[in-house]
Amino acid sequence: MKATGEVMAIDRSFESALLKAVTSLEVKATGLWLNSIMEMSDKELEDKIKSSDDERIFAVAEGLRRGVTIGKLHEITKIDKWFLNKIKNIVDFENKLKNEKLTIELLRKAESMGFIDKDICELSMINYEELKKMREENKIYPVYKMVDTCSGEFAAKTPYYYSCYEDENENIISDDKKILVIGSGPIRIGQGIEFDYCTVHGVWAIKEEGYQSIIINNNPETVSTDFDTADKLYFESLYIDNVINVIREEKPEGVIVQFGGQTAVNLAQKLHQMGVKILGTQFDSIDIAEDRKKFSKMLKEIGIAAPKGESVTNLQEALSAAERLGYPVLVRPSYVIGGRAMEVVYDVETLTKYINEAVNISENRPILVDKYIRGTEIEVDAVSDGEDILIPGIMEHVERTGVHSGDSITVYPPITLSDEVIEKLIKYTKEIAVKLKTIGLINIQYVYNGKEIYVIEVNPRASRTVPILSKVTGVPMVKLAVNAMVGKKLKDTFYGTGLVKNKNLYAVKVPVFSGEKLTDADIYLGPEMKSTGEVLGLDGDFDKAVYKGFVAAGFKIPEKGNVYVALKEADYEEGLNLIKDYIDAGFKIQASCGTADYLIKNNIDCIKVTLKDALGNISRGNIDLIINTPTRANSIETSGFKLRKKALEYKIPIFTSLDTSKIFLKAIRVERYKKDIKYKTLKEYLFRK
Amino acid sequence: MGKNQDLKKVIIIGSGPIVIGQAAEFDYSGTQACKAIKEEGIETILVNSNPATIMTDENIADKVYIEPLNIETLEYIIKSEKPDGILAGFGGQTALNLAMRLKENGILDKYNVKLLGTGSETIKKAEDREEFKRLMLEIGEPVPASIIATSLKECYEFVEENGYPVIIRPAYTLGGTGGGIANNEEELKEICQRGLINSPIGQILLEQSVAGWKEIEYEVIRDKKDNCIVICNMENIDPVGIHTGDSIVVAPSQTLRDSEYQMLRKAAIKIIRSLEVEGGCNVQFALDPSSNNYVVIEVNPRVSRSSALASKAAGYPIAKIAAKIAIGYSLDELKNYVTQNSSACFEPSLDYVVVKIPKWPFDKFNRQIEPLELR
Repeated sequence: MKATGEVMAIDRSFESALLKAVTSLEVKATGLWLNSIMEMSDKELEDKIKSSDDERIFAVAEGLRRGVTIGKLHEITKIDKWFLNKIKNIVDFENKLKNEKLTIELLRKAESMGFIDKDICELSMINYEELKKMREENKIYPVYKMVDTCSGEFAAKTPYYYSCYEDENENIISDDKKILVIGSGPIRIGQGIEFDYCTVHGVWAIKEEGYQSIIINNNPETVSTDFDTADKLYFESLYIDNVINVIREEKPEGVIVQFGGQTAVNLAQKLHQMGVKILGTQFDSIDIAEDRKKFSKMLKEIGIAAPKGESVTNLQEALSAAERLGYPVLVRPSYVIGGRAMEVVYDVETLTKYINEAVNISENRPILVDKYIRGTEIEVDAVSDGEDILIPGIMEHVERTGVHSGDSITVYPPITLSDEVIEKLIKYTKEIAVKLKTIGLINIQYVYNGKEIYVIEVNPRASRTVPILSKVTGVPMVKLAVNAMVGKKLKDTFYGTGLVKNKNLYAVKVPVFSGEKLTDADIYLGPEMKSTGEVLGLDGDFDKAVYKGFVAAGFKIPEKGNVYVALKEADYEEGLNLIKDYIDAGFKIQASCGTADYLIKNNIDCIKVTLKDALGNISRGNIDLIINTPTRANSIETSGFKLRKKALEYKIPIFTSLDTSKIFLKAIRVERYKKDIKYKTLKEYLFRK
Repeated sequence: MGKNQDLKKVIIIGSGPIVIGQAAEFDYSGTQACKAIKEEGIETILVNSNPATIMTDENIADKVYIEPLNIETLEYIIKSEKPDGILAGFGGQTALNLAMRLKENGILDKYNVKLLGTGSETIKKAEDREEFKRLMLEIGEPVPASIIATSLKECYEFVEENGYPVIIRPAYTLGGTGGGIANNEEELKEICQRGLINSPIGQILLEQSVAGWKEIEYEVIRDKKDNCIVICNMENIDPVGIHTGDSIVVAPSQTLRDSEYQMLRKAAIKIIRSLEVEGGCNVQFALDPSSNNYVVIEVNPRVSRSSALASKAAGYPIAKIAAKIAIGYSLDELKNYVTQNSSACFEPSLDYVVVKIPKWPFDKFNRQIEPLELR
């Protein structure tokens, strides 16, 4: 299995449920067509259909479009002809929309088959305003049906609904004041269960404030779509059309977009344009945080530093920008989740390769080139009421900048920051939150290079760290955010303002990768997030918290044995001390050719083992731990990748960052002198004397 | 009969970090289980290492341990909390495996802790391929030709007799980690070797392939009075050959004749009864599209990703009802929490179609090297 999550759609026919599910996926497609597949030759298409990968459904639809028979498709895929016929109905209807004038009757049929407005416009070649007018004049809107478990056989009232285009509306609309929360859709890397946590807490807080709580989401795996979480559940696609339809039906006081991750935040602009009231931080502020130019301008106004950077639209511009900024630079496409396709680039050659191969670049799709600042990364989450902020706690990353925050080991409270730095972080966070007119949650990532603090990123929404901080500090962040949205001031709450005093505990978040499932993925740490989940190590003692974190993440912690080291040249000098520490801890060293030469030159006892021989040593159980900082990743052909893959297969700890390797020594020491490890409830840690 | 009055304190094991094959569905089922038991006045103790979950919230269970999920931690907690029972059917394969090890190591007996819901004998019968096969043959339910292998030699012998393709699945792993389909000797060797390493008990299952058959699942609930109901059946649009977690799934099934539906329904109930599952259970069948032949592919004696989907598809809270059954209730004593006025014994019926599509991480990882995992 390779899927990280799933979407579900409910409707009256298979065709409409399928199309609704496709729009829920948040991929490039909203109907059954993908440009990349439509551009394929017949031969390529046939291979695609045979390959049975994640895009097969689109390939099958394209096959039908090109006249491949249902019999042939069944022969290749073994998909039942009934399903293939249904997909053909969708494809045939596409043609109908293309070839016939869009009548009211045809529009109704298209809607009930599950086509979204944008696609109907495109197929029928009419503009959106015309379509909107047709809808308004003829009242072509969905009705909502109740999921009552008994097909209407008995009287039943459930607060669980789905949309369809039929006549009878079963929706029971109350006159109470309501607030709608937009969920975060399917679980994926970079947008996980933490947003379900925030959504559910949002719902609870709304109820407490005396409003009716309504939720829209499409993920069947979650608590937010449990029918007794919100007062009312719409199991719907989070596509703008579906969301607007629910808003038209319910007329809520306001809509909350800041709990549902980037999925919900991305709807803010359209909701704003359509005149929907967004509760909490407004679209204009979200836009400033996400638009580079506006954001730098704002930071300049309040005198807070950010790494210098430029937005470029072609290779030439990229090269000269990097030249001006100085290598290394951090490159990435604009507007992405989870640092997708982000890389730290050290030279002209790699930058050229990145621009030419890794990303689509154009006038409309600029690439961001930033000066890469090496230092400690710090994460600050705050609740803001527009005037004051409350910071429940600050978290520090173990790995230095260059590793995505979701993939780094993160520690509460900070362990290396001085009071002076912390004071500054509080001041900056308040200035940014207030300047952005933040109401509710805000997440800011900083880097501190020993001299200066820079802002790397601001997210005007709930972040991955909200559930952790809420739990380890006892501050109900989401609830306070909802309170702020309905006009309450932080200074009037029990929790007050400023930074909450550190709790007498250590919390160490360790990421977990699904490397065993994604056997062809290279799980090295970099700016693009790859982990699927996380665990928390809690203890009153820092080393024990680190130990628990690694154990919970599934690491086998060796007490002694052989460490295989293969470092990139830039890491040699720094790696020296680390390797000495491992030797002091009783480990023997095997090293790749270059690394071994360097170690021997520096009087460190080690055995030279090529990467290829290292693979054999792993199989024979001669290697217990690997430290491998890759020069270039992303290619499955490199020997480094094979090494990492082999290590995963044999469940040997492998670290691709010196910082992780260093902190792992703490876990090794705890394992060796294992005594007095206590397991306590969260409350016992929190209220420890 | 009602609630077991001896239960004053219960430990619930969570599923740990989100990994592929074990995602948010166990936060959903675990949260439901905690709430269902807590509202009966039983003290609930939750253990889970995943801090991003709702179930690890202060207000879901009475006590929350955010600690590593392993035997050492659980024994420590059992020792200090002295619970009357432990609930392992709501935290996926992770929780089930831990409970089985606690049982085998004698820890549950030592501290007098009862494994609630489906018992360890049943879990073993459903999870151990050999025992499962024996039971199926005993009750006359067809299974594909298969062997349990602990060495490569046995794998070669099986293929000589049954031919290619064969499916390889390691025992006791998350969603079949390290399995695959072998079409020739080279693939056979590679997959079997990997599987033997990945299985915590060094066992793999080799099985005749039924790739291309329809894949149909039934979600069934049973109580100790032997009441059984089917919550929902589901059909994978992608036939056998693609992992159900990577398949587009539709509920209820769309292409079965009534006789086929009833045949499989009867088989699912017969299986859950013979296994004596107490709670939720997922039964997967392969159905030959060109005859009435079918085989039982897999049984999960716990709530699963499929039961989360079935719960939402049918409007029936499987985990909640399964938790109530685990603490002693029977289906006829419980009500349907959705309709409020009908019995939990009533099988849901659907007047709509549900489609599930998986979300894949191929925007992050190269697709050309990532065909969907076969099974």
